[in-house]
Amino acid sequence: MSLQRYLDVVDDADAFLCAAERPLPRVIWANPLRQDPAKTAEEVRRLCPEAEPLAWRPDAWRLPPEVKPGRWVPWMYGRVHGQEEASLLAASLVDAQPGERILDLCAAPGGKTAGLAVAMADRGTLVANDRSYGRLSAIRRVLDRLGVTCAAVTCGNGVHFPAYPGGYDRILVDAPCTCEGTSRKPGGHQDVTSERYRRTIVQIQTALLRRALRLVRPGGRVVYSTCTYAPEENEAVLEAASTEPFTIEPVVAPAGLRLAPGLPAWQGQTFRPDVVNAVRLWPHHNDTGGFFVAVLKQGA
Amino acid sequence: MRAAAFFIPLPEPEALLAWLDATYGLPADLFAGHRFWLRTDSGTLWLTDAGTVPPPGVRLDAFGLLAFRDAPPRGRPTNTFALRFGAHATKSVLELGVAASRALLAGEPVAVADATETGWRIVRGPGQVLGMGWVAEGQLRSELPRSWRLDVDPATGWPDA
Ligand SMILES: C[S@@+](CC[C@H](N)C(=O)[O-])C[C@H]1O[C@@H](n2cnc3c(N)ncnc32)[C@H](O)[C@@H]1O
Repeated sequence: MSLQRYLDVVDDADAFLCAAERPLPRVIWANPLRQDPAKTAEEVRRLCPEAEPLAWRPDAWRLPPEVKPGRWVPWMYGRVHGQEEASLLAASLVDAQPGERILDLCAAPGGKTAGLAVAMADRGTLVANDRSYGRLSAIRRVLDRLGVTCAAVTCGNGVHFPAYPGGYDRILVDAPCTCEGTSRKPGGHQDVTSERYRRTIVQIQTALLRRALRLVRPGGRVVYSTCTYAPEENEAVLEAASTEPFTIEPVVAPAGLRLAPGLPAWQGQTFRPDVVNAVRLWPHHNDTGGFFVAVLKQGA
Repeated sequence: MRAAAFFIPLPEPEALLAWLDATYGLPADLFAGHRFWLRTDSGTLWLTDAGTVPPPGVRLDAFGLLAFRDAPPRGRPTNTFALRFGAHATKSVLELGVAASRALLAGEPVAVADATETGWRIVRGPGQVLGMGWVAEGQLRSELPRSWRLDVDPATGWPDA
């Protein structure tokens, strides 16, 4: 399997390869726009006594893989929403605030959009964009189910996304990638990644990140994330986007999560020193999917 | 990319607010922090937070929450609207018990002998809004899209008494 290429940079090769094959625990969180999370917590305990609150998000629970929260009435009515723990972390690092102007540049199917809307307390402007028109309905379904009013769903190529006067306060670039970190999901990544495809996607990732750095207000935050381990799609993209001014901010690991620092070098290429502030989630560290997140502050 | 010319602030929102109060007992101040918009090409009515501003220069597929497919008095509120605000309604409400709520989610007919007036209702079950319903001849018909309840297990909604 293509994950072999990471064995030199991971701490425990066997644990990594094993974890990458195991089914992923499900995580759900309470939607405060629908109901007081304390009441939702009662419902979750009633429906799944094994549900385990996350140390860093007491309003989110880890469920055994065989539990199907999508069949619950509380799910149908948007009182809970499901998201992979690593993906939840990426959305929470945007640190969205009520009343802000936020752009989710690659938003479909809307998992992180949902978390951003809730963090904004449904106040302000959340632009959820995706290039693929066919995938917008998935975003709309999530927002409808959760009862969100502050979002605009747009269809556009993020590389040419139009500016907002004054700039966005925060932008999430959850870039299209080779998805190597999704091997634990049903239908997730299984094959060997084509290096040709990787080269194409790296161009798009770099262009999306550069555009975001231009659309954000001076000093604003851009979060770059992928669900892949590959430094080509992560550290090297941060390097390539350095034609725009930004710094990579340190990430404080939330309680109970172990984060690995960004890699200073890969296959002979060395990267800007602050890439070590970016974080990689290996599946065996926290029993999550694989993920990479960097928190960028616009400006020199 | 097409320009975002489709959504305009709803002209004369007072008329809509008065209708919501008269029909469902939803007071205007419930919407003080929100804003209604008209989608000019389709006539649909949408609701956003008062601070939501349309992004310029890009095609909008949705803007806030779709509140009415047809403007009242012809149209009824959408299920999404009912779910967000229906807990506050005091008129045209139908309250169901656990058994009837489960039956509704299972797609079964629900007899409502004491609801005599034909028309739309905001349907509520114990502790939650269930959606819009149509009452006629002593029967309640759910207006929830089938796709919403297709996978749901109605028993998970409420503890057994
Ligand atoms: C990793 S997925 C996003 C997942 C989503 N953020 C979530 O949490 O549910 C990447 C998305 O980027 C979109 N995409 C690909 N190229 C794009 C581009 N040039 N501009 C905008 N979106 C693009 C794809 O259609 C896909 O939906």
